[in-house]
Amino acid sequence: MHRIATLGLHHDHVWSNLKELQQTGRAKLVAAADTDHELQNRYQSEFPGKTYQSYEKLLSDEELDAVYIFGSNKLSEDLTVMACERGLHCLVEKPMASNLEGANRMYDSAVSAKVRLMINWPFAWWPQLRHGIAMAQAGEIGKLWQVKYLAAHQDRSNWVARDSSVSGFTMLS
Amino acid sequence: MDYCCYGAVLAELLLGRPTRISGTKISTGFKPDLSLEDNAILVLTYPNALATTEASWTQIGKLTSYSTTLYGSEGTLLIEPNHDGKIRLATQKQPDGIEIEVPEQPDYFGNASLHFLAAIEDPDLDIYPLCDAAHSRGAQWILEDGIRVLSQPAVDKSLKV
Repeated sequence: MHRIATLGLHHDHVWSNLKELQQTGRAKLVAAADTDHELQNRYQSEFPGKTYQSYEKLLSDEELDAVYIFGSNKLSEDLTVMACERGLHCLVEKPMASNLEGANRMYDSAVSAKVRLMINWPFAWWPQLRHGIAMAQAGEIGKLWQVKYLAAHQDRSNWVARDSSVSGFTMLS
Repeated sequence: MDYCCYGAVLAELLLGRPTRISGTKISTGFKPDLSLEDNAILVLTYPNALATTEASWTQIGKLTSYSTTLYGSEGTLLIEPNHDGKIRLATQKQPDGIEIEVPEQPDYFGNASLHFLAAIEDPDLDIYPLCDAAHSRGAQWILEDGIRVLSQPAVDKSLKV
């Protein structure tokens, strides 16, 4: 049974991912940390384990195999580096970081610690998209000359409202 | 937020790092409580290819959203979103497109948790390339350059006429 904690509960994808993790029956949800009391309360009402205000305290107090990182993009970098330095495998919600320097730090930390670092792009789990990618890579539609993707809905992501550090151009992050 | 990043990682995986990035962003004003832009597009240029990644927080309804189109010299793939989406292939012989059957795939592709646990348990299992840190870092490079390009003051040509 893998012992997994969640660092950051900002991103609203966290709840469905934790439910799916529970459903595997192969992991124990040990704890979660976030500075937001409302999010801590929601975690406590839906999932097992202790909640922490401090990410560092969770990492020092709990015995873990891996972490799920669902904080803001700016936070992902530091949380990933902290976890890698403790030898923990990391699943990080997309995008990888808030900037390239952060992504480089995360990548280098994981390589140095020899741990798994996986960035969760939710569309990666759509079978037809993976099949389309495989067809394109195998040359089944000839030479690829254009890739087009549209992400659109009417409601902004919840975390934007929660994360006061967010500033311009975040649609591109 | 975090919307142009999907197209960026897809383009990075399929076409690599672009030679030029351009784009634009707007605020429609439909969301007065949002201080950020609510629509954006990046155009990625390659020596013999291009990619676009669009993002919107103001679209009404779901038509076209989250759909992927891959254009090749011998065929076009239209890929619908979500776990139950279809994939259609158009060719010279089948210009209106035909539905392609998606083969059964291993359980560890079922969702992020199944894949992550499988990767922890089997060090030899490759993380699916879209979720591999190297490609995600490549997407970050694209986004960083996109932010740099879009942070430069736009020139309104209409004012120069």
